[in-house]
Amino acid sequence: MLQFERFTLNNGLRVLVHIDKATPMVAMNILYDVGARDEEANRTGFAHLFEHLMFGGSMNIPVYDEPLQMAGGENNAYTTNDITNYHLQIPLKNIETAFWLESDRMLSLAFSEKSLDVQRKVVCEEFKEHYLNKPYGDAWHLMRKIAYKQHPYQWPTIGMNLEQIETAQLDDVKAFFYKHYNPLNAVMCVAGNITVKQVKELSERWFGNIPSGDKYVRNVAAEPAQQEARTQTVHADVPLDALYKAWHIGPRLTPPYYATDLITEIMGSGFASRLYQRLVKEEQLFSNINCYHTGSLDPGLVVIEGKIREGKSIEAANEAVEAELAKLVAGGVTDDELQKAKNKIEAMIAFEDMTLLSRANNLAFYELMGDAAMINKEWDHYQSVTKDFLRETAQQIFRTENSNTLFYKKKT
Amino acid sequence: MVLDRKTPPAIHDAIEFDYVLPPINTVKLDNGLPLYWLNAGVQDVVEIDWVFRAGLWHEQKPSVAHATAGLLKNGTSKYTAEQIHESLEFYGAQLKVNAGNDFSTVTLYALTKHLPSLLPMVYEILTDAIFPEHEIEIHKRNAIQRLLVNLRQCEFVANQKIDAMLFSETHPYGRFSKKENIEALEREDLITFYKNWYSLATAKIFMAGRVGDKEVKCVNDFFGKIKATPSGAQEPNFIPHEVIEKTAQIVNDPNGVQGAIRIGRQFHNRHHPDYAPMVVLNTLFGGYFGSRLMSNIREDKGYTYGIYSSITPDMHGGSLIIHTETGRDVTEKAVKEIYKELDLLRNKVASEDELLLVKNYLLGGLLGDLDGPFSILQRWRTLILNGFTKEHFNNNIRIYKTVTAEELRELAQRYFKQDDFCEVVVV
Repeated sequence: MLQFERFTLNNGLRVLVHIDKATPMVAMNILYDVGARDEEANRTGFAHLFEHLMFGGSMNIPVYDEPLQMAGGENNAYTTNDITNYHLQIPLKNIETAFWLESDRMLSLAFSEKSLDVQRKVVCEEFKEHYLNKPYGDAWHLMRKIAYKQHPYQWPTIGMNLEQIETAQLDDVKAFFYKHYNPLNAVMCVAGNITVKQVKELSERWFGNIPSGDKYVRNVAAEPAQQEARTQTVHADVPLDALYKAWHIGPRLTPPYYATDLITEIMGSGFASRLYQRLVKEEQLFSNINCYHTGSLDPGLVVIEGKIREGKSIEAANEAVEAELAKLVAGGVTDDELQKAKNKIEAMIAFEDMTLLSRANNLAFYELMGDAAMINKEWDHYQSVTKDFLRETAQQIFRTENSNTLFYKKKT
Repeated sequence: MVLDRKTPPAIHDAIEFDYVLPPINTVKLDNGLPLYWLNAGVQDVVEIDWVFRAGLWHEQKPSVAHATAGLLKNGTSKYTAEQIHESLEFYGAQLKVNAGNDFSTVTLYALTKHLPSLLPMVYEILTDAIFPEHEIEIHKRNAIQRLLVNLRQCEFVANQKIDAMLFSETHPYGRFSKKENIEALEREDLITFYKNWYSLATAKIFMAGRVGDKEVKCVNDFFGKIKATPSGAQEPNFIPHEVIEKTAQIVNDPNGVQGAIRIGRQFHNRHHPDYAPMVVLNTLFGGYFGSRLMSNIREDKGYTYGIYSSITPDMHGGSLIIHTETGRDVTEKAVKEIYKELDLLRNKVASEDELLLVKNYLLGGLLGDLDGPFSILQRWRTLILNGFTKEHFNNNIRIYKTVTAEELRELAQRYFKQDDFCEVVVV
């Protein structure tokens, strides 16, 4: 059970306060309601590039990191397809430094050419390091494109290609800032040995006079229901064939989402999971295999991916996966399997709540989804999934016409 | 009153704070095995580590330590691999086995309430692993396939190469797994290694989380009854090696768009008096986001997504290595800049402001680290495995707080000479 209080400033900024009397640190998490799904198709990767620019100086503070580090703080940020999240941790005594720094960059950036110029290069190197100079690095660029035809989930947060990042202009940066970075589009959570009164005062002082800006109204294309199975084959310079499969699932906060999460635990998480046991250990078609889902806010994907054992055929491996799914759909899961999956989730929630920062981050995220209090209902949602409902969900997901398959083959 | 946004709010310097390492309890189980434990945190979770002197240092044949770790959970005389994994995963627990240079560590993460259900199986694994032949075959094949994928990556190849250059491939710290080493593994190798080095008699057990007497009793019930007798295996000895190869250029991926750079030297272990001040110098140089290397090579030149320098202290020595991946066309320029930064620290005393910032950053982070049960346990584990007491921790804090810019320059003059470094570039 995570305790919290919340208030909203006059300019619309939502603030959550989580009290933890045991820690000497304070965590501050600011989540902006903008991710790669809000990008234009010809400006992909921009939300993430922009996140880098948030460290390049703001209106009154030439650099962000130095004063934070001087105050004993540490920070980072990340961008997903849905959101951009900034988080820091600092000794409680220096809490005001956090308010000073974060409020100034919400007020306005410095928009420096030098910063844009350098960060374009840095992000291009990040792109190369993780997506180009790595075997199978482009698999998700391909997979997203196969699975999504309308929705902007068809590109990854790093962006569709290097060119779009290389050509980003300062005017684009400014427009993006004014559209998305304002109190109305943000949620802040402050956690530590603090009082609500104290956080209220500090928030009023530092964030209170930032203009509200305009509420960004999201208007992204919904992905139409998939009508037929999609398959693509590529050849690349990799040592082993790899199989990627994906199916569309329901949106976050709906009962099928929780059932899907449990399905992925049963099918492909851990050495005792079905796919690992049958296909790596018994049939020995794969050298490794995983099942997970993308966890996105708009309807996401459940994914199965694995590397094919040398000498085995990727087509046979694909059929074996299909056969395991057919078994799941026809026979459902056992009581023990369902209980195991729930036990795993229960442990995961407890471990996640261990760090202050993770609690602050999760509270902000649930508030963004509608209400921070929902976080305390999550476990109940998992608990209430029955075997029958899990099987119904599996039937709904693992239909042939809902499937997307990428055969990623080594060049011969 | 108009809000002054230009002037930073007054801060308390982290060097002024007190740093108290929460105490750890030491008990002896009924059979004399040491258990170190501490109760902290509010979540109902527990971590238990069984630490064995079973590192790469102890293997009689390459790749044995990793294979033993990888297969430890895959069969006892009573249970199959599947049954073992099932019984652990059913409770949402994780049991990880990691083989390091000096130690292998078996770590259990679980909800505290499930401890009585989990410990019997951990006991089975630690006392009766049998390494079935068919499990070894699968493991070998999959390990080789993983290796083949990793070898395509410049950074993986560069990591292997720099260790080999610093320590030589005949030394456990410089050795790395090759396909033929994995192929040559035999069941007998694993069993011998397990018998010699995974001996509970010489293990140390660490526990932290929301735990108390009940959990201590639980550990004693399962691990305090066995008569633990040392295997008698003699700790091997290796002679430090002279560096022969100073630079290496490797073409690994002719069509790649990036190169991996590693520049490193041997460095002392935690027992040397220069170790603690070097932590401060290394942080300033390449240990955090505001470091000299990051400011120059990422934030000014944009050559890389990230560049760091890290110290790896092992029991019998260690290393200090600078690592980065840069654009293929700028590897040479990046290497030049790295040496320039080393020179700068030798020739010019860092400003008081910069040093204060580094100290505040380092100590501020430490304050957060002394917060969670697992991070407190990790500090204690390091101290205890090195034979240190709390005084060592307190002494390090004193050094972090008081080391001067001039002392750091002397340190740089001693350890940041370009000639003492080995250099690898893999493209």
